Amino acid sequence: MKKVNNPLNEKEFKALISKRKDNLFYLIILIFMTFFLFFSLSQMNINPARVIRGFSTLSDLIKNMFPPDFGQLSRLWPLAIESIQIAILGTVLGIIFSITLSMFAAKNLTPIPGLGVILKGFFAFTRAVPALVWALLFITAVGLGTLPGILALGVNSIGMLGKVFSESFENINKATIEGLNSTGASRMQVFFQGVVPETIPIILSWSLFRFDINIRYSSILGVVGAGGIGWELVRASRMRDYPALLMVILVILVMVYAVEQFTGYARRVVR
Amino acid sequence: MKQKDVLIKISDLKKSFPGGTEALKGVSFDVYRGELLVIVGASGAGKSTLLRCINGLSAISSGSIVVDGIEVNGLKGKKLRQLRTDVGMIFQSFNIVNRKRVIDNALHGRLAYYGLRGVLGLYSFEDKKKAFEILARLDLEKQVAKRADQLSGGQKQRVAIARAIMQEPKVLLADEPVASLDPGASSKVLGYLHKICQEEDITAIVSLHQIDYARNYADRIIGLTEGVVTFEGGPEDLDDEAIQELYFNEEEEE
Ligand SMILES: Nc1ncnc2c1ncn2[C@@H]1O[C@H](COP(=O)(O)OP(=O)(O)OP(=O)(O)O)[C@@H](O)[C@H]1O
Ligand SMILES: [Mg+2]
Repeated sequence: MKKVNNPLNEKEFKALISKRKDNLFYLIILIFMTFFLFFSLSQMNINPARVIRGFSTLSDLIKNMFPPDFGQLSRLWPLAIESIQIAILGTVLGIIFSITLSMFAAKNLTPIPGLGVILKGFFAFTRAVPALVWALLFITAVGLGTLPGILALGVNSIGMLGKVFSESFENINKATIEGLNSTGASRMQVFFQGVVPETIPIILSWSLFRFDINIRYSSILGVVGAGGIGWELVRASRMRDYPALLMVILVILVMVYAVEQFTGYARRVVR
Repeated sequence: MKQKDVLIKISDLKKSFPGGTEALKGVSFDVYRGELLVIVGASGAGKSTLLRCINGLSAISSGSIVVDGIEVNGLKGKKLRQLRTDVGMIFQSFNIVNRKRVIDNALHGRLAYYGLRGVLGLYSFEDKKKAFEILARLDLEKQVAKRADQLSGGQKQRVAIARAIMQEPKVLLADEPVASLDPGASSKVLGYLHKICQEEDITAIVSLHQIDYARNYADRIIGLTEGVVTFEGGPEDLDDEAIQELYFNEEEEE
């Protein structure tokens, strides 16, 4: 029989296959988490009685919602369209800025090495701040309406798209870039004639995915006054007009579902 | 009858890499207008490095490279890109844009002649016509509308040749253009390369691993050993003894 040369000694080998240490580790974490859960529940004054009371109120609410107020539809659908427009414009804005900034953020393309690090920090920042917070910021800056909504979605999208675009640019074959460089093409030409075509499937599928996310955001951005159908949620619930509230929810549901079907189809085509 | 008109003058060219590797240790030779110069040498001899210095893809450490009266050393930005339009390059791994069509890849050779229109890929009718004509001369007329990733290796390399010819270069550098092709495709690609350079009156510097190809196509041969020119002569001078020196002289050193 052939003797297998084991590079590990017996002790190392046993340590490698035994899970005892791992198990202890997980047990400690479990105990800690359980403790933290109960601590949080008591801290936030959440007790079973309150939850049960909440459920009964909710079921009353749902009873009062029916039938939905279809009379609202003629007023709601233009607002739904407005939400879709906000999502489209916000996504397009995000894509344009992400592609342009990624050209300077990708390590292999940037003309100034330090710039990439700064831009990636900026991407992380725009990602970390939620879309609703961006909306509030832009409302302060430009006033109520669809514009702050578009800007909020645009900036928030840069965080995600900028990250994936610059990373996919970094993964592009170095030889392809070199080949174009050898023809005397300029940096911009190499980027748009070489780098972008090579990564177009990634760019398109992530942009569509982001559009999916943005349509969800744009349906509630109106809650803070950044345009679209979201404000109707606030209005109906303040007026305790529950059939109207249900109608708004239904319209949002249909809108999000329709967009999801479309982007799902488009992503399959792109592939 | 060939005139001995110097197109490229390389003098005491040295190149070391950050790690300390001295890839070229004082290389000097001339390249004459219209000739096909083959560079041979063992793996690691510095063939790729030498070619990449000529179009400024690698910066040289010292010495000088003069291409048609222009010193390459120190060229930057627009001047460097200007030089590169005059010096086409073909790579072992083709280095074309796989997701673009064949015709688009050929037209990439014209990019430097366009500004923003090139960014958008808006080429003139004349250039498109010319690209088609060159692709046809390389027997690719049936492939023009195909995406490059659908081609065989030999076809891809011919697309790369078309791109370089579209540049209307004075010199064409080819770094082991057939090293990743099978023998059939290899001699075909070298045949096309040889023919089109003659027809367009383009000077060519081709690095090759295979001695018999070198003998077949070269007007002149230069041999490199560990960053030093150890052979210079016509194909008839590259006899068994010279080959022995180029490829198997390591034993003598030890
Ligand atoms: N980017 C680099 N960084 C560091 N060393 C390098 C680099 N490129 C090449 N070298 C070194 O320079 C020397 C010459 O390499 P070069 O690629 O020019 O040889 P070559 O003749 O083209 O070989 P091959 O036939 O294998 O392609 C080698 O020792 C190689 O290790
Ligand atoms: Mg090489």
